[in-house]
Amino acid sequence: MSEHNGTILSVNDLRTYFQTEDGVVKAVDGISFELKKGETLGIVGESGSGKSVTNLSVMRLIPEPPGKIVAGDVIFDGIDIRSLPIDDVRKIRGKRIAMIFQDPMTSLNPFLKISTQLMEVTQLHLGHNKKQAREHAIKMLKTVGIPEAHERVDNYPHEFSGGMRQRVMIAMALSCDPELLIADEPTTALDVTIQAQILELIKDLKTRMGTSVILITHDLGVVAGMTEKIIVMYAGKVFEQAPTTELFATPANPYTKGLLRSVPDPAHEEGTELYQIPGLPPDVAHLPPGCPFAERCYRAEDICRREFPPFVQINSDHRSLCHFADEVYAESVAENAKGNGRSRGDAQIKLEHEN
Amino acid sequence: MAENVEIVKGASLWSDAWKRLLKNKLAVFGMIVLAFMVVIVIVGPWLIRVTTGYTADFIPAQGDLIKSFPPSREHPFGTDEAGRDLLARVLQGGRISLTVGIISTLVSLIVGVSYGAIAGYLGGRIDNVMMRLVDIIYAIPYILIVIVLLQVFGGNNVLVLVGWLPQILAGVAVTAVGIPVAVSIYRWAIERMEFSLGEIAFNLIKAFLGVALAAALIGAVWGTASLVASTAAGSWLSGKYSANVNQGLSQIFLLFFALGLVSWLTMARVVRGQILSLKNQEFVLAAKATGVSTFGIIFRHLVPNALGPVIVYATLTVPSVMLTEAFLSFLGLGVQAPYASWGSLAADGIKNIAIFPWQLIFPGVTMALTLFSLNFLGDGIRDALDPQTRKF
Repeated sequence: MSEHNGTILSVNDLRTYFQTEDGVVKAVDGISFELKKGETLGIVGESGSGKSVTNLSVMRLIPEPPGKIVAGDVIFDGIDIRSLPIDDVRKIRGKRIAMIFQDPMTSLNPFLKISTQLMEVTQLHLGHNKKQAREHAIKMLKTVGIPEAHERVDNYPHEFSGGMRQRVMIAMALSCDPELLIADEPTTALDVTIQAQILELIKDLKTRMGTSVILITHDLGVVAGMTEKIIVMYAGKVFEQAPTTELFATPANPYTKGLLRSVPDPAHEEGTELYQIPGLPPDVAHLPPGCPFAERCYRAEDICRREFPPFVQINSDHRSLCHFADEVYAESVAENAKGNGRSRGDAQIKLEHEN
Repeated sequence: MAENVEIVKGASLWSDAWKRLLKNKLAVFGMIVLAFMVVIVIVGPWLIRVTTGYTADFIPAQGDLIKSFPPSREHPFGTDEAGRDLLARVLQGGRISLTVGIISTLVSLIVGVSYGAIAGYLGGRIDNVMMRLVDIIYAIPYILIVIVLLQVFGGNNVLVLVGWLPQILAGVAVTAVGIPVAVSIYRWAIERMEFSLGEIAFNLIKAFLGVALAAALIGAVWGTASLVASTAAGSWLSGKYSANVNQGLSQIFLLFFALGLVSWLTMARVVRGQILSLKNQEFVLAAKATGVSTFGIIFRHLVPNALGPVIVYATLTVPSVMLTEAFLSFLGLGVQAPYASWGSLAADGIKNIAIFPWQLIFPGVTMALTLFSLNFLGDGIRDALDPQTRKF
């Protein structure tokens, strides 16, 4: 494995398009990233920005038709996922790459006992017999902190609360000891206290098992404390890509700045309006020729509407898709130096707390 | 943590539904009648033979002019026009009627559920072709199919069917083995050529190869089938069975087959509809993401979720199939003497309704009672599984 320099997943210029009646929807249009062993990557963006499609593409779960991965490479541990026969992809799914879904209420089969669903995974991938699989299932439930696992294992999903179901999902995802865990908005459907518990659990299991994690979310507070690097997506494109601390401290893209400003500030003054990015995300099927964010951008100029922005390399790990990336970056650095980085929001406070 | 935390044994959907079912008086009545009917139909004929010596096809030798007697102590249901004990015949007929109902329903369950589930889950073009096929079979009046089947293969013609059995089996086996092999060869050949030729030439060769492949397959199936047919195994089989084919029995099996052939269509539609609404749920994606195969997703994850409507529909299929069987037998197409079903008994009875009313009343009432019970039970199960549809 050393020949991959510890890289577990590398995605190169991935493009996933959907053929709809309305035209071609470029759900993911040229995303590249690398994930090292044990690292956590956060993917942030609004609804419909292509976060989930990216990860479904990694697992080859895009419904075909209408979807299709039209270009790019997905290399997982030296294996080219895109050219693999579907049977071999199935052997990787659940065993080496596992996934946690957004809504624990619907992602467990309501008709099957928890035990059946947990046992299915290990029987499939680890060749367990019924008894081994059952023991393993109970062990996994204990690992994710479900009390009375012996009895609870035979319950049906509806007998669990939302947080516990998400724990069961995590138990299921981790039961084959995967090398990569993709968590697709794992806490969106949960309330804040449960959210903290689940994140803590994922973090804890990650350090214990050495799993790499891709965390998809639209909650900046969540990625701040969890991840090492972040990708900000908008309209199927990567808008900014940077290590977490750097992204929060010195964002080089107006969209990222807007996102950071939108995080409610605990010190927010009563009576004044909360900040929000004006406008709505564009229709991905009919993108304008220029920057897709131009209509909502506070510093958009003519060139933004005319020409598609370049992917500017700020430094070795930091890239931003903007005509004025360098200027925005300089702005952020200046603001940061002044020490009144209002744009950092409470996510930054959380981040400092974690460090 | 307190030690007196008790895990409540959760009520599963089935135990909930069972409780609701028990509250429904009509359904309970239906269940009791059905249970009684099943038991009596199984042990009844044997009991009568042991106690009185009558069987369903025992014709007394002494030649009275009128052989049909009204109900008496000796013959509780009376006798039919040939002097056979009607009670024994009704029970014997019940065996056949219930078996027809159950077997056809099983066929419709197995074929209909898997067909509908596969069509619904795979969707797209496959779904389209599969469901159009169902539509076509639907469009042919089933009575016509049954009549044609019974005419073509009924009676002596069943020997033809049995004689062809080895060929059919061989054909199926060759197809099952041949198609995957041929398809993989085809794929292999295509992959070899993909890079070395231009697109048009490539497509031409691809199409040519496809046609050649299809032709080769059909030829192989045909050849193997005729080869097997001409071997000793084939003739031995047909020789062995042709001697034993009992004409009346073969008619009954044909009836099973014919009714099963048409009864799965609606089931397939019901299941397909269910699967269509289920397949986009997140747990299916979750199952895919854990590496479960398509087969596993369809039959382990989706079909159990569609089971409610399937059970309801199956319980309502039993009486409808029994009615169809009775109808066919009544027309003289189904079960024939010396075998009896409720339908054929009723057909015999109606000829003499003015003089020997018991010949119609007893089989008729027994059948009506059974059908009522089945329908009550089916309705009860539907209400129990889906409490929202209940209106009272």
